[in-house]
Amino acid sequence: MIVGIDPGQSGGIAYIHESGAASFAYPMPVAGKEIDGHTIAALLREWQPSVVYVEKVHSMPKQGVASTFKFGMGYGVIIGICDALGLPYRLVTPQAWKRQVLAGTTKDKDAAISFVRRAYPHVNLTPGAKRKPHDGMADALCIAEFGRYLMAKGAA
Amino acid sequence: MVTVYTTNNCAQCFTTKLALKKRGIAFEQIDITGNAAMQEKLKSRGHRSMPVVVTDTDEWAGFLPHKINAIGGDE
Repeated sequence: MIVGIDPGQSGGIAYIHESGAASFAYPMPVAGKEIDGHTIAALLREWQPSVVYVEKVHSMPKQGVASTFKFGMGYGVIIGICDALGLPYRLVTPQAWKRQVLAGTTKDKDAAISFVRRAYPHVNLTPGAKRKPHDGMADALCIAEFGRYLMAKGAA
Repeated sequence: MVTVYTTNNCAQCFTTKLALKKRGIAFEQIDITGNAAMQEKLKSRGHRSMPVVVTDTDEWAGFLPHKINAIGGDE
């Protein structure tokens, strides 16, 4: 089982079987306005993925210090969970996974949603009563797909 | 008997079912996505997250591995 994580409150967490047979995506678990580390840890402990692929993020110019700190903290929580659970993880840049998974597209959020709809049509990207597709879930599944590609290639 | 009330796109629901299967515990799943009446009923019982798991001796909301582990002893 391969897990892909798009960090951030509006991100997502997805997993796919190495064969691609089973695949699921969920919105990032949050508690209040923060990433719910307890829930993520419980899920990953139960899933026992072979590898967790996490999008490598960094601060952005002109981003506020408070939001940057909060975003970095959430990212750190995810990395810390993988470390604490002894789960192997890889950090992948958005450029790397988009270059592979979204090749030949505009490589934006809509492209990720379109990819998931084509490649994983059974995955529902509109959780709850939402009408707009959840791009964090789509990105997480694309990241997991990139991980599957790397593993198949023997590069992971 | 174990009953699991679920909604779609719920990681905790999926993981609860996965954990029950891995432990060989039989359960009935009831998807209450869009079932406002059932959702209200569970809320009135104090549940604020999904899934809601009901056993013969206990009930809880969320993915709680220690509760699932205890089912073998309860049932």
